Amino acid sequence: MIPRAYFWNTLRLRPIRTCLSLISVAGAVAAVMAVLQSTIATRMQMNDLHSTLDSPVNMEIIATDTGPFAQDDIAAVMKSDEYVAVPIFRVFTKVVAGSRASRCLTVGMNSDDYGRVHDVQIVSGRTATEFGEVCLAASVAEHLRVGPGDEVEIGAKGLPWLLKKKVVGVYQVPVTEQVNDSATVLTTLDDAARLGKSRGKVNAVLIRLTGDRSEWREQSVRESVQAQLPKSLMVTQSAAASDLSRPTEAMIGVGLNVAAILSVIASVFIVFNSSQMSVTERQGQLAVMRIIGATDDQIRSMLYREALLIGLAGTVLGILPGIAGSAFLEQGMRDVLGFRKMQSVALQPLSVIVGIAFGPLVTMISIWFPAKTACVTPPMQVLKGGSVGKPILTRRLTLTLGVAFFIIASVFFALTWLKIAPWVTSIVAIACLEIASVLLLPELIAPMAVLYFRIAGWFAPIEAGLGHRQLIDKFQRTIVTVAVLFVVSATSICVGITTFSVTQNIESWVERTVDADFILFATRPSADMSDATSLPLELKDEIRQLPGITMVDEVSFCFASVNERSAMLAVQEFDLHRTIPIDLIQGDMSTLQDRLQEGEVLLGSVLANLLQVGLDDTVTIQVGESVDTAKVAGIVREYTAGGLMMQMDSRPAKERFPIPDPQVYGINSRPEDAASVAESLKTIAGQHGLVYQSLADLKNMIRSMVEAITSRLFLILVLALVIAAFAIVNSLTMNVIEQTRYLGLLRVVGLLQSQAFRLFLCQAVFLGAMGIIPGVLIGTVMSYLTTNSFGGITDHGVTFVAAPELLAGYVVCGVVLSLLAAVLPATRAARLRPLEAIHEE
Amino acid sequence: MGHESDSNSAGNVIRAERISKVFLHEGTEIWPFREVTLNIRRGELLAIMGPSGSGKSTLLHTLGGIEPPTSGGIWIEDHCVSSMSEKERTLLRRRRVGFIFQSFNLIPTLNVLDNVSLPLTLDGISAKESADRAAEALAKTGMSHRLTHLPTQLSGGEQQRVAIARALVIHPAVVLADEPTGNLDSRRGRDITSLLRQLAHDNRQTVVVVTHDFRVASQSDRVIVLLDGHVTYDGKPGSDEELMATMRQESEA
Repeated sequence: MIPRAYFWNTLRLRPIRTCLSLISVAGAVAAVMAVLQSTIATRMQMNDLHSTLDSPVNMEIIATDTGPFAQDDIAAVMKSDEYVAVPIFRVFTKVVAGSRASRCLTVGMNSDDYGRVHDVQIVSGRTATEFGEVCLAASVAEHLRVGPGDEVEIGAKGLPWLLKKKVVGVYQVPVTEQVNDSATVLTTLDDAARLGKSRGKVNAVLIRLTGDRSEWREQSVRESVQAQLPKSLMVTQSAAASDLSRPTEAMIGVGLNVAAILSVIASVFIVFNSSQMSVTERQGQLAVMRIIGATDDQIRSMLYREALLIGLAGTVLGILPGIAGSAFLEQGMRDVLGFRKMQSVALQPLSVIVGIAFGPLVTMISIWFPAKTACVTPPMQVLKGGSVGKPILTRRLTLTLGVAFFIIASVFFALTWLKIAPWVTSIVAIACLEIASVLLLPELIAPMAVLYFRIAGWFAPIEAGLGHRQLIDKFQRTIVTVAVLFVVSATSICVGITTFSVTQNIESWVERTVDADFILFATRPSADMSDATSLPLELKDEIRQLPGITMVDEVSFCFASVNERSAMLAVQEFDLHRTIPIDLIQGDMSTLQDRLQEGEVLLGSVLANLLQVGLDDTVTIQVGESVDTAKVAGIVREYTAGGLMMQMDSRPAKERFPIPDPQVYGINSRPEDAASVAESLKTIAGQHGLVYQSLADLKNMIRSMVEAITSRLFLILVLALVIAAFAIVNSLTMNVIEQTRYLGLLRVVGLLQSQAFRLFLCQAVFLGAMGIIPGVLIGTVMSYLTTNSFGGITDHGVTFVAAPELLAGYVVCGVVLSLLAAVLPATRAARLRPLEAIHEE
Repeated sequence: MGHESDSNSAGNVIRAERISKVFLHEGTEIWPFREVTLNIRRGELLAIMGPSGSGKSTLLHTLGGIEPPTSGGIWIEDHCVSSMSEKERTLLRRRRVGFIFQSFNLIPTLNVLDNVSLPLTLDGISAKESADRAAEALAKTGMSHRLTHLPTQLSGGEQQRVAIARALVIHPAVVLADEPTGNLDSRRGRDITSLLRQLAHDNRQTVVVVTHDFRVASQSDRVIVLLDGHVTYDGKPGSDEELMATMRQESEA
């Protein structure tokens, strides 16, 4: 057994080494915990969103003319053991409280039915049970500044006056409320029917299956219900809004998976480097112990115990930064995904357990390699200062493995490209590519070292010569150090540039698809869009009368089915626009206007991909009860509704389908009148309870979002670099320790302190540049492949944006950090007292 | 432990028979010594001399079981070192062989007492007994007053005394010293040599010293000269001049 004193003194008397080891482990634990926690949190938030968007309502009964119908017509289907049926009345209304107004969807239902089909939470007050009572969505109550006990006035289309109602409660629907403002008012069935001038009637019945909710059962129930209904009524599939967000989420999933895998690889490398240095530094001591009788088992056991302690201590230190990091990343993800109001997810046991296990486990595994080397090298050879044994991974083996991983990565990419393998294969391929690059790195280092030190030799010939010799003499260490920087850089750049590309794509998409100077809408459409409130039609004329107005385009959204697949149909007046505001991927822009006027459609690329349809193919479209076919005039890049989007021109769309009244007005004005138009529109918005937004506001909002993401991203990249820079401190400190005697001799024969200092700075720049520059290049390639792998989900993928300023900034920061990392060991080298150094062993 | 010898009856602590060592360096065979046969008696102080690169240190390490010979047999007491596994050789070194190096090779993070008790601790001996025996060994080398100091706080001569105490603490059958005075000035070198001689004679411990120093060799009981891997002289030390003449003669021959 190795004396306990050795164990503790090794940690106590080598504070720099102990700190470096602890920081490496703590940094790695924090990184893994943060990425894992934010990944889990984002997934949970997306799942919550899904569970809400995947409405528990399986189907709806509506009239074929979408109008109201008598409850007697549905009496036969109201009671069943197989489902719960809830009659409702939906009507678009305007709710007024004092000088404030809001456009809302008012839904009437019996108070007993609250919660039977929707997950409604009463925030304050109670449900509306009596005639004249209303329960407001939290966002509406907030906008109108009313609460339980207050009075509001409600008007509906066709009603000559406003009706007074008493607010008895405020509710929210978990998740959707937090994702997007829903503008719904709940009231009694009778109240809503009166607002819709259809007393005693309903206009929909929501049906929720009990027990098994499989597709085949839903189909059988639908057929059975339809069979019992009069011909004037029909059963429609409830719109699965979550389908519309799945492609976006799959894209985010790819990003999260890539980030998680790469951060684990980078963390393992950092810990491995630290363990390698910690043992190599003490090769001599270990050799002496072996000579005087320590067995290999004793040496290994000592190193494993030490690694365990460092691993545990590093883990304890890493947990808090990990929690802080996860909160930082999670907040970033919420900002990116628009889950701003969502509550942060509590620290998940899995991320804590993995974080706690990661530190000791990886430290223990990473010590295996240097411990084995320390035990197989003849001790006298170590004491004589010779090579510390044959490396377990020889150059030939790393080359072979590197080529093998490269081939595996290429095959996986090819399989994904050819759509033989699922898109997740590309994530494995990206990880394989990174591993291949690390393994092939040694082949690059030697020739690059010759080149670099030749150039450095022009400025500082002595330092360059000595520095080159030292790095090549300790080639294994040089490789490990460079590999750590390489992996961290490649990982950071891959994740960074991919995120940057996605945000840039969204920004450029907005630039291309939004050409209105001003936008007016009633309320932000709720997550399932079915609650999007229509605007008063007479408003369009009012806006047109304003001086300086050049165009008022109306946009309507509604659910549709395309080739039996749920999608969003957006209808607008394309003929008003000089240039059609779309991001066309396939199609001929010159003939597009004519084709759209003839009733052809534009498909979002994600939808086209899912339907496997292309340009000039014909699709079957169903909106409500209307079914018709249309040719595909173009494929467009769309982010709305996860890309499951279809666009039609207003005139042919209204001729063929029951298109709801417009929900958005896009308004353009003459530039010189923009200011006065803006003021007028703000006034109109205030009067009608609408939301006003200018294009400048929208662009600013997106720009600030992109800037926030980019700055946050850059901070994360720099933090990763700081941790990686410890690899340089490790490596150069080792060079100083091992070459103390040699440096002492050089100092005796005339090497200046400044030269000794420059010698290490020279090495640091080389190590930094060799790790960071190839890392940035490979990271960029990995990012390119990652953005392309999104194509498996969205068809159009994400256009890769190289962001040269981000890359250049990263390289500069990396090299500066490398230089800073060299200061400590270089100072140590410069301050060596020559005679003491000569006698140092 | 080890393999018994049936011919170790003449009081030899170390017996080497026709031992050779070969290294491969960039495809070329290097023979530090060839076909060396050597018997070293209990209580004998043997000096191994020879020019640099003559294979003295390699022979010493091979005799002590740090490295196995390429061919031939080595016995320490009754144990056949040359046929032992790495672990068996380690255990033999731990219990029967003490090593002293030119560069002391103390563990910098252990104090004097812990450094000396290290071989005992490795052998599972209790902390108290280890400390007592270490203190006893340090007393013999005159280092009792420095028990809690770290090696960096000692002079070269003091560090070597600690290293000698570490070699003695296990009560070894043989102490192997590789240039023990090489890093010391002449006065401290003389002290160390006297200490080694005293060990051999008072404790009847076999001491084998590799040295360039004729004064060390002249105090030994026997000197062998190694030239080009062969023992070219094996006898009494005689005077410095005689030894020098012998080495020069052999070298020229």
